[in-house]
Amino acid sequence: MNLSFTQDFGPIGLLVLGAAACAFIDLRPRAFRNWGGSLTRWVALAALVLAFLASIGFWRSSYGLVPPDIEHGSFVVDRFALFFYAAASAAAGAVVVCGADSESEVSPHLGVYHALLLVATAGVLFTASAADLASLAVGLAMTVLPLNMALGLRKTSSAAVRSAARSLMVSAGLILLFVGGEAIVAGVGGATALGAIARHAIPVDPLMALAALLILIGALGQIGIFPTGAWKAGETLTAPVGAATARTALVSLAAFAAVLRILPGALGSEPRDWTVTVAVLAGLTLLAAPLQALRQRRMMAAVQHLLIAQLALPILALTEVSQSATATILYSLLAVIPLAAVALAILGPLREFGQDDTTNSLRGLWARSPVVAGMLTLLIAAAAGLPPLAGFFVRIFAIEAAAQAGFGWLLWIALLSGLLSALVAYRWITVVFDSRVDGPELDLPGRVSMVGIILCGVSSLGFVVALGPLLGIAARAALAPLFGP
Amino acid sequence: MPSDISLTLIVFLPAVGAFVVLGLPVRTDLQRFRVRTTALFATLLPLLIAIFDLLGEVGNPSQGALPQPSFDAPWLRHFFFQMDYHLGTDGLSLMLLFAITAIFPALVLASWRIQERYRSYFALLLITEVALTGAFATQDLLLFLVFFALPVVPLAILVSFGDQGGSAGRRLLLTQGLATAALLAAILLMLLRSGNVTFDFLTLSTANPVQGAPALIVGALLLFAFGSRMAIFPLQRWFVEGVASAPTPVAMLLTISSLPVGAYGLVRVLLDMDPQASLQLVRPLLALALITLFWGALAARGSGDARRVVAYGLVAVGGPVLLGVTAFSETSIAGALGLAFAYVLFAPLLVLAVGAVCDRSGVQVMTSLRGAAAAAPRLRLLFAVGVAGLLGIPFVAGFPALFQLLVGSFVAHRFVTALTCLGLLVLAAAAWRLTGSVFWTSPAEEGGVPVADSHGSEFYAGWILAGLLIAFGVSAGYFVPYTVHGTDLVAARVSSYAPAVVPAKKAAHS
Repeated sequence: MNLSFTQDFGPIGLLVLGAAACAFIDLRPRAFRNWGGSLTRWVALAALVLAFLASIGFWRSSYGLVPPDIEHGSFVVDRFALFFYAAASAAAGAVVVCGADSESEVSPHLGVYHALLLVATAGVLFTASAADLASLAVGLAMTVLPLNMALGLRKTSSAAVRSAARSLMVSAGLILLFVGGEAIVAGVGGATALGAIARHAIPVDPLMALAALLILIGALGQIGIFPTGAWKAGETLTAPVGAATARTALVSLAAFAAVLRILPGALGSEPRDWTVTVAVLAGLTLLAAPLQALRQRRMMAAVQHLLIAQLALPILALTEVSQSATATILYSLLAVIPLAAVALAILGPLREFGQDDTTNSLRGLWARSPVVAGMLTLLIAAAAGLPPLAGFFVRIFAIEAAAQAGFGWLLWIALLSGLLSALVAYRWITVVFDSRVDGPELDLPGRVSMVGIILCGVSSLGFVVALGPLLGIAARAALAPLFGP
Repeated sequence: MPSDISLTLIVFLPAVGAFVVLGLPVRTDLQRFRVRTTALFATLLPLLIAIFDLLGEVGNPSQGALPQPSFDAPWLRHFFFQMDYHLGTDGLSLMLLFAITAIFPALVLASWRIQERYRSYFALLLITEVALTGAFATQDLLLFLVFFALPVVPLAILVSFGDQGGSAGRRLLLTQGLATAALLAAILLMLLRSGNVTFDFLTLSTANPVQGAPALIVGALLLFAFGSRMAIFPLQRWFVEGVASAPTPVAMLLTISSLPVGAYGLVRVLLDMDPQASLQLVRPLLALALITLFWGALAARGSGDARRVVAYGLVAVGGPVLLGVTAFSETSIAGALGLAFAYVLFAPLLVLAVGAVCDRSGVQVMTSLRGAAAAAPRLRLLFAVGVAGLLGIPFVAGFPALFQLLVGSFVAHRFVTALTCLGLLVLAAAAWRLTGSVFWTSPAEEGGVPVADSHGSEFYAGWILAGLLIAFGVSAGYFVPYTVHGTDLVAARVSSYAPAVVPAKKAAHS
């Protein structure tokens, strides 16, 4: 009896088991009362660490020139998938650690929250491993829907519940768009397996532009690319901060994994059909997101829009079908994840202390809480892609990729977007450093959150120093073909 | 022989200092003193390394042509392009790098009496030092872009610390943000159009440059980026408002972050890597040089605000520097860089002297400041040394630079050089007006209150600057040949792309 699939499905299995354990603990609170209220946090963290280590182990075992990829029908464990395995496990772990201080927002359903988080992480892994159109849609839904449910766990706020319900419906609608796009691809390509579509000589077909549009909006609309940006960032204002952050980090990974598998992966041989659509969407998002960020009076919303602007850069790189361009996309996803986690670790406790994140509340924060203010400054600078942080290099690489693909005009839009983002960063940094001091002195985040903040802050800076090695890893993950062996 | 790591230490020790400063408490006077002392040490260490490890290079002028010392480590390979962590100094950059490291201890001393936001202030100051030293130390164009862009937000925040600094900070951010975007666009266009895959200065200065219309676009973008940083006409407003409204030490910092970096960028990037556009842009560059000089000098002459007089006067210096760059000879380019070097010393000195008078009297209007420095002989002397540097009086650092610049430019552009001399006279008149009405006259009979003289840390900061200005003026013969050797290759590179000139007689015969 061949049991190798248990090993290949190991990381996903660990996460599902962890989710089941968290849900069980939440359902039987009396049985676990002696273990402390945050037991599910440690269970979730253990599952994520094990999944991460398993991913790294797989990666190292397949680090040769020709990876011994593993295929089980429409499921493949190649280095592309393993990159997402490790990134998603690390991202979810960072969310759990950095969100330790704001767990009371989802009380008394902390176990449900952690279970949903683990299921969503398993969804990212499933999406990254999918080698079939149907599996991709299932994986994306598995990531998006639990996280949208988690948005409604803040029971003290009826607005959060309403917002989560609306968010769930809209996300489901976007997934339908994604499936519609997939249906066109399957119809024109004559198959649902990505490998078969890639081998099928697809004729130049205007329908493919529509398919690309539906796939992009269906997948990347979940993270707020144009035209869903204003709505997606707005939802986070009432939601539990942890759930909102997890959605930014994990859904970005799942959405890009799905898009990369389909567009440069299966349809990479005839990119002219869809690159114009990608370029237009990237350009519109690059302009709309920082403009929206400029209008915000709450920092969480501004950071969300800045992160959307940062995530538009990998879309820009999507216009070029090459290993370097795909590596740029993977690296930029790595650069965004710690930022989302730090945002959670800082803004979550602010809400806990009864402070909000409006301009008035944060004015003069430097004098009241220098450490929190310093972290906020680093966060906003990194989210805006200011030099010498990773986002600055991502912008250069993405512009280069777009220019290589023949979309030189996007250079000017990307530069304007960078300038607008810098203006947003300047505005918030001057608020934090303002000499007028409003509000009480704030305590530091708790010990667990501080560990998360330090790790994420160090990785934000370390991603720049280790630019070469990280891009090397991303380039290995981006090795064609992206649709499995 | 300098060690490989010395430049890395010079560039990044202030960053370590910034992190340490951010972690120090500031509740008591002793704790605040520790913050200031830490910042001072973080600026003194790079200076000491520069003195003992780099300055000896100047004694060997032939070394000026190539980067010495050089530290090159691959950073990014097998990608769209290659990127190196490559640091090195040559004749173009060594003296500017040294001047920057020398000026920062003086800036910390000048900031000794700031009353609030100690940690953020000194941390931002140190980060700006990282950016400035990095810009002069790097030998990789992309790394240069990073260091070019790095000080923009810290400077904008520092400027906004002033009472009226909010709008000046925003203007600085917008203008310099656009300048960074223009430089990034120019670099990417250069990369795409020339087919080069490396950003290494040495490789780019020997590779085939961009040709045709794209070369002109790249040249225009570079001119915008570096001209904006130099605060030449019509991109000077951010600088003037910043100097006029920022706290005095920040205004000093603003001056050394502007023209020196812009002038160095023009020579290093525009002339060396886009020589065709440099030749095509000669007339616009000359026109801008004259307009900047005359506009700055006349605005300084006409302004009623003492700080703005200094700011406009410093803007005017951009004119001669542009002229020197545009003459394309090794002497004129060395003169332009020498003037940028002198600017690092005299510009903050002028701002310090005038800022001290304005801060103590609480006004900036010149009619109210009449004779304000009558009882401050040290401030008067500091101001006089600064003006001597500005006007290129013998025995101060501005003199050899201006002399070289005018001699080198006269060969190529006689008429414009003559007009530049006239413009310098107008600038001298503006300086004389400020000198006569604030520093060397008796106080107004009604309401004129003389300010207290310079003392303590401010006194030491001023005299460090004045001493360096005089020391480099006297010892010009020691370091000028090194700079000239550095500019040899740039001048030769531009000349090699100049159209061959047919001698007049030969043309007539044919």
